[in-house]
Amino acid sequence: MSVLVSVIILFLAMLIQAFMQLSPGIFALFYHYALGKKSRKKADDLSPYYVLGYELFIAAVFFILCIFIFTLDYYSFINFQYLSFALAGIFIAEAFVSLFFYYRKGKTTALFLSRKFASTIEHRAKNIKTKPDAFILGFLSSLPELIFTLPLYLAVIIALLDFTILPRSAVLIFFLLISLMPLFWIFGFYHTDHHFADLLRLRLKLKPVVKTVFFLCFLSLSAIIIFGALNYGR
Amino acid sequence: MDDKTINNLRRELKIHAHALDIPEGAAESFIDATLKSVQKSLSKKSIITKADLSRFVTKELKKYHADLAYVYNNCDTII
Repeated sequence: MSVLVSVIILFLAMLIQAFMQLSPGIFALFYHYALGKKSRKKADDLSPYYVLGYELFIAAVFFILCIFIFTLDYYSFINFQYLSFALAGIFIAEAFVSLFFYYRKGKTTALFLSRKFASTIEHRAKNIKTKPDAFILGFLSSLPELIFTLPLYLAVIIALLDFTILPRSAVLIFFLLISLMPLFWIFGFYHTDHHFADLLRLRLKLKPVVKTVFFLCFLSLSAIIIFGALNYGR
Repeated sequence: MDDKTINNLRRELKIHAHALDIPEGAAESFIDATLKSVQKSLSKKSIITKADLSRFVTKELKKYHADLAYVYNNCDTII
């Protein structure tokens, strides 16, 4: 795969990751209740543990996928051209799923999750007392979004196959940092005289933007992966 | 409405009010006023659903603090 194609894939994947709504939503809810039940200092103390749990989950998924894909590549067990075509198909499906089924209908930012899972997570977010609680909540928060992010991580790793170890590691670390941006943004939002009400209104306002970004990015990702597979074999 | 429901509702509204930086005294006075008004309105009804309660509380709270009413009504719809 050429460097340009890899860079475009990485850029689109980072953009999609930065727009994922579940973990920032849970973080916003958790921070609001921590502010309400305790104090800003206590909320600030708990936040890094949520962030750590969230980041560790993504890093763990990446690590497992990297070992899996690099091993398959090393022993030439897999035809990456077929895998790329399969991923492109998944991204086309995800483009339409994100347009029609990412959010629930109506004037709400509720996501299309199992209601039982959502209420369990909400209950946990509202009742965080200790640092391990915050860590576990962060760790669990990106689990339901794996349906979107797992193929994305696979595409990132395949795009990195032709890179040497140093740029590979640097890009993965950069990707992990980008995934933190929404959480930092919400943290900053709460620290600039804004409240949960402003955040809820803003999320509702940005709902069509998020859906459009997902739709366009997933479709573009699919197109560039097909282009890469046809021209460079992966 | 039983006392347990009212107390839970009062506790929840106080949490939201504290998170929204509403002064404690002001928050307590309009939460009490809201709950009294809601109790009065709903006392005539034989069956009260959670949605009824939420709607009445939101409507009453809006008179005092629009942000608090908005958060109370929408905090469960973020995820």
